[in-house]
Amino acid sequence: MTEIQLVSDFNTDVFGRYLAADQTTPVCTVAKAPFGQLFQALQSPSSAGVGVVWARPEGVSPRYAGLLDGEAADLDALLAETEAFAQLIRRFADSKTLVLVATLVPSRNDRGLGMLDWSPMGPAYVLARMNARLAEALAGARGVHLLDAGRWLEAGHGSPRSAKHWFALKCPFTEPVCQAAARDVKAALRGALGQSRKLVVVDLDDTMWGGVVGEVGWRKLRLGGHDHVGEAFVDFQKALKALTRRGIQVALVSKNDEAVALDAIDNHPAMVLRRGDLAGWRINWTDKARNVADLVAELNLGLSSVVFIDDNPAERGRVAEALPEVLVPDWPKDPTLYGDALRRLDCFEQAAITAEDRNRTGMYVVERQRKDSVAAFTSLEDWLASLEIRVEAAPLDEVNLKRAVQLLNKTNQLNLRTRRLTETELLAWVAEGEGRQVMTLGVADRFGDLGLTGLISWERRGDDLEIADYLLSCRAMGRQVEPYMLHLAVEAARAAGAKRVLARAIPTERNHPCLEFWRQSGFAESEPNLFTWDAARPYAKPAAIQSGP
Amino acid sequence: MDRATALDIVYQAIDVVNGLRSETEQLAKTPDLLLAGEGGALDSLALVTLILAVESRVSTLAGAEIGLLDDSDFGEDAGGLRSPAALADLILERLAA
Repeated sequence: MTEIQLVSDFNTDVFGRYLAADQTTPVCTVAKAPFGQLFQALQSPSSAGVGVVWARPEGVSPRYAGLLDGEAADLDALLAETEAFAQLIRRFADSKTLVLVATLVPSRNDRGLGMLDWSPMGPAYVLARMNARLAEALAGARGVHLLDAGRWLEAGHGSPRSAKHWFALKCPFTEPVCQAAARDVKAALRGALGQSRKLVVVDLDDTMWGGVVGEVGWRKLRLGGHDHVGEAFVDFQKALKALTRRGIQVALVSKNDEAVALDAIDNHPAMVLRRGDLAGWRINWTDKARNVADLVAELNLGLSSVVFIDDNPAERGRVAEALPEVLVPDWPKDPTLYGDALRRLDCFEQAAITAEDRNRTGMYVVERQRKDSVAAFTSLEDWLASLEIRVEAAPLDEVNLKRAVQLLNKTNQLNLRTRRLTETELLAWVAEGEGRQVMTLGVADRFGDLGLTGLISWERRGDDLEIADYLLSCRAMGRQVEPYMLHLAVEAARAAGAKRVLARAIPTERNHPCLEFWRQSGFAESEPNLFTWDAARPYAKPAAIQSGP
Repeated sequence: MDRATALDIVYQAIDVVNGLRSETEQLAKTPDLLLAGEGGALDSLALVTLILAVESRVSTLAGAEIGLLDDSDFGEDAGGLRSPAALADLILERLAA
């Protein structure tokens, strides 16, 4: 259960009830600060781990309120009030794992100064400056994210603001706005907790392009050209490609002849997505639900990471029924709406976009080459040696912090304890205990750089060194990085004079591969899920690992 | 506006209120559901939300502004706010005034 403290200068009851009523993960309990006590609440945070700050601009800055009442305002003084508000949020965030702050939006239906609204002292211009100052002052604040409240105002069909709501409820916004805000907060929470979707599985015919390629051939597909529908399919592909640039993968599942479909992907001049943009594909005549499951298993992802898009409602229904963990959004019939339908999905939130994210598709492409190379070797050892695996272990620092937290929150299968932590919580954990250390592992081989894919942490407990986190991204599994991390822990224990290395596994539905590895690792399972190693004995560094300390 | 339409407007407003409630606390859309007054299902925030939603829909459908919040029907018997049926009658009464 995620506890949320709402802080506002208006009545957030409706917003809070939408948040609490939404039973999708993470389920939330909500406590709101007393009405009208924006600054007091920021200075006395509750014990709730998450804070949501949603204020009216006139509640943040008395000078802005004066501006709305027709007074002249000193812009510098007004921005100083905004800066002071931001600094309060930064201090408030010190006691929270996550703080979400709504951008400032007009709270009443007001033409302002009309044609002078964007003049240097017009309310619209001043509000834009206030938001920019807020964003600048909160940039880099750990665990603080701004949410675009302007998007919430677009929800529903009527006016987003209502004077009647203000006078009757002391909330200036209508229910659809509060509901959109609650959905956005939930999406952000899922992003911060690593519960966002990572893979979009897309159909081909009439989804990626117009027409059935097996019937008309790729030259007659509706894709690009002087055709509004063809342009819409290109737009949809561009939206998919944009996702790949932030670490969300795209894969194909299509009932087609594979050679015909790949011919279109390789050769149609208007294709935006080529093979090199795809994490994988299943193009055959098999049941799509089975293909999705196979593909997801091949990519070492969970079904809860997947979004399935298909123009055919029967296929969507089949996948939704067979694989309930997969998100199957309703899909418009009109292809001109495809791009926006994808861009509006709120399941791809990320607390950060790392270099690994930006290069993830390339990593999957290289992984295909890597797997293809297995066939040339008669033994696993020979293949591993041929990979020229290099591992760089580095302590946690400012540079690798975001990626380390991302790994903690997204890794499921090879994860000893599945401990989910925010940046703030991880840093606090390191600072508060004895002998605590977090090591990150970057992995590369002759095919390319797999990026920062492993993390191990430990702490001193009496004579023992206990492993707190042990996790490795699925894409680096099976390359001897797993035992190499144990080598690191045992070496650290020996250097610190510890007598044993301990690891207490917490079994989950997803981390069987991790438990299997530990049971084969040479550590003794002295009681169920408790693994020990006598630190008097070194733990051999795997032969296939060519570098590292 | 006929009574069925007025009742439908109340039910649409109940949908809005149900959005604020968990799945296990959803209000049934029946004419005699006790909304307000002693033993009523709605607290003051939910009741005001319901009324605002009704007013908004009446404005959209009938093009007429009615003020249900102006009443002093928040007491124990709740008057025209007591049930969806009573509220539908109140809508028609205000439109006719």
